[in-house]
Amino acid sequence: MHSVKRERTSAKAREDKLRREAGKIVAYKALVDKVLTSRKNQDYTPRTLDLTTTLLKQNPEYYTIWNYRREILTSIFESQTADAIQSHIESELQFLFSRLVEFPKCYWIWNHRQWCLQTAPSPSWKFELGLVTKMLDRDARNFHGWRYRRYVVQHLELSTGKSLVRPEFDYTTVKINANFSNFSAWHNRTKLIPRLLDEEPEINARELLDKEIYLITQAIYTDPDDQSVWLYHRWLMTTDDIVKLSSDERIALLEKEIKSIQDLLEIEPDSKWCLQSLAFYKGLIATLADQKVDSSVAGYLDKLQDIDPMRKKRYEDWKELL
Amino acid sequence: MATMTTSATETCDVLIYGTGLIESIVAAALAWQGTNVLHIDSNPYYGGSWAALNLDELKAWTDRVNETATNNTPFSDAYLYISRNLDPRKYAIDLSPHILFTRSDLLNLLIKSRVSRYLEFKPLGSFHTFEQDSFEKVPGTKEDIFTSQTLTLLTKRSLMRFMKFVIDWEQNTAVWQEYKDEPISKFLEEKFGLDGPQIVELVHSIGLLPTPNAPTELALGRITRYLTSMHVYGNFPAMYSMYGTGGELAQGFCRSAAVAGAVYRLGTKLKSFDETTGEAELDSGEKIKVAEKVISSEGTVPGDEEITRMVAVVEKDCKEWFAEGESAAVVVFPVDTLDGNRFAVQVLVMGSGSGQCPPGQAIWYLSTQDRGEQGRKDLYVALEKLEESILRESTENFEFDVNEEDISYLPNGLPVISSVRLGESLRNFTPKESLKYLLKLTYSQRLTVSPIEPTAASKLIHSVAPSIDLAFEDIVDQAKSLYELVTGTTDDFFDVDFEDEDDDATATAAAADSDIRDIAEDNDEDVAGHHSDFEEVAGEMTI
Repeated sequence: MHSVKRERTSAKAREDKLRREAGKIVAYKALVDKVLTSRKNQDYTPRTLDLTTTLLKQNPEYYTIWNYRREILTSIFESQTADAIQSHIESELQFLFSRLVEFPKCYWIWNHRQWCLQTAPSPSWKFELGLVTKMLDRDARNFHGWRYRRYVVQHLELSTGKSLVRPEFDYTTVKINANFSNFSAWHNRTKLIPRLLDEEPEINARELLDKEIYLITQAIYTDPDDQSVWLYHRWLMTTDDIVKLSSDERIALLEKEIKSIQDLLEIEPDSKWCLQSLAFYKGLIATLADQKVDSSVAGYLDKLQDIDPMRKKRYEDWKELL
Repeated sequence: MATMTTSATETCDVLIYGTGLIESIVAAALAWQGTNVLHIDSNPYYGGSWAALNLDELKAWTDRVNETATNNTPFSDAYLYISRNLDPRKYAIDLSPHILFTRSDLLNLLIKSRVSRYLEFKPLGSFHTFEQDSFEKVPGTKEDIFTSQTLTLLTKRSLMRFMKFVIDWEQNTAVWQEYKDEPISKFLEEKFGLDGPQIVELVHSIGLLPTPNAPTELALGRITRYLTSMHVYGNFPAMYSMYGTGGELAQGFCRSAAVAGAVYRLGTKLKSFDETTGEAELDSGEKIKVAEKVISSEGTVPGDEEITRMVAVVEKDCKEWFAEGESAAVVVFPVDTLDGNRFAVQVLVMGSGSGQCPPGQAIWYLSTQDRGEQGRKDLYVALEKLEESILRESTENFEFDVNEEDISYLPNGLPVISSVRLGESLRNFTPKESLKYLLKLTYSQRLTVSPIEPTAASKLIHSVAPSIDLAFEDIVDQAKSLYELVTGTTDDFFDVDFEDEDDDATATAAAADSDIRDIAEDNDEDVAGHHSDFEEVAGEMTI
């Protein structure tokens, strides 16, 4: 009937939910007690392994349980053939993948996966690379994933004797194009570039440096508020890993970049990273040329104290060191 | 058991006539609130002016439009050509195609009401602007701007500044207040230093506005709609339901209403309604006692807005225009790109993945806010351009007639062809084949409105026809205002608590399982660079 509200089931549903949850908490605590007691009693049976599975599904952050799980597995593996161990580890990896999908940033899951691969008689590194690629598709900024990727690539290269530097370098480009606000991807690039130059002697190092500067300038102009791009820019300005520059060459490079950043500062006068970079690069030129620091730097630092009051003292210190 | 037969009259609280999207939302909202709803439609299908029709229904619809068209009907001037030997049931021709932005009140309602569970959604990430005789991909994200090889550094910065501003433009009134009713193009130029192609893309392709003269306040809302919708579910701002857009949503809400107890009768006309006695008579002769109100989509009068439409089914899959894994695209012809068109021509391209046509074909939905002959002429010119473009893009080894001096190189080594020269070269292209049209339909559609302003006391309320915007706009607000006229409040509009389910964990585990199989199958390929099918799982729209 009109204006008579339908009987709401929600209040009852909410109560039921609370009751169900209270039950879950009691069950969880009992499970924790049981598992910890088993560990004290050095119980390494498959039945207890299953208990850790249940517990870790509920709480993957409980690293003591992961430790215990490895103790159980090690004990079980002692009496098993390599084939049996391999198949056991494969199901372990499958379990871990379902955990990673749900908790992609849990240290202990990644850690346990690494242990599994070290323990496996014949680990499939190629499969792991596919897995971590998919994990990074889900979240390209998951540094656990990037760290694991470097670990996997290293083993894959060792096992095949084939370098993956070029595809890995291209992979960082793809990831950066999809979202350049990515410390991990830029960082990986700094690790890969020296090896790339090593392996591909036909690359002109100076041209590569210019290309990287072009790329990072696009990023800087697109989003000057993003810290990751400035960090990479600073690496490009200061590293000898790409090409060894003489003091004069370095100064010329810095001056060119200072010009570009000053252009940006004109349209973004309150850009903290612009000001910081200008102050830093001008200081660097002074050191390289063994001269006094350009007078404009003090002004930049004053302005930084205004727009970034949280780090006021830091800029004061910096100014004193000039 | 003996029954009392003193009165055969059925009763209901609210009778809703017409199963268009807005009426269907109101029906479901009222039914869930506890109102006894009878929902009827004169057509044998759901959706009214929003419906997606098969070819038999479309023929009947065309005849009916031309027989009954008056100044008060939503459709007029329908011309239909259908080539022979098409299976009528393999097509769903959308009478008012609309796209759904991923951040919108309608999508929120679809999720909240769980009507989304009845539907299958597909992503729409390809928005093109017709410039220099070629289709440019719209730089609608930070990533597009970053990777663009044609924008200058300063333009990149200006665009990004605008994009950051527009995300919360409503709070930043100081920036736009003085431009409120001024053209958006003027605002973009003077306040953000944007010009030419960037303004065109922001206004026409991102804002989906008919002209660059649209008032700034309205335009900023439309531009924001697109930009805030990016990356909600993935790398696309909009989506659509399969097998028909508004009509499928309407049907979903009807189904929800039925679950809540509403009664449905298709192919039933409302013959009369006596506001004093509250008695409604159906064409079957049945009499209904209506306790509260009748909401009717008929008896409306034309509003100010009109849209000229064309539908073309072509024998090409048009995949060249779609983003990877997608099956639809939006192409916009800005003002003055088609022999002096005064309004933009918007095209929604639907591939067979939309469920609207068989494989190897596509449906082009063209529309403009220009009327009559002029409107139809613009649509035909746009149709020609589309035809040229798809023939060219689907021709393999098409050689650009471009000399070395037309090419410049960016510092990163990538070549850029002078766009003027490219346009010229594209214009000189003569296709070796011609495009086969399997169906062509043109018609005019008027936005109809209520003849009188309804009040809470009105027994008979009129609903309105689809909006002329390419995206669903104001739908939920309109449904709410009808709802309020019936119940006196919108506080309990779809205030439904569904039983909670704890199934999410199981779903994740199942997804993980299928991922494992995917990787195992991928293993022979170059896995390092392979990154498409996880997205299918991650981006699957179980909303």
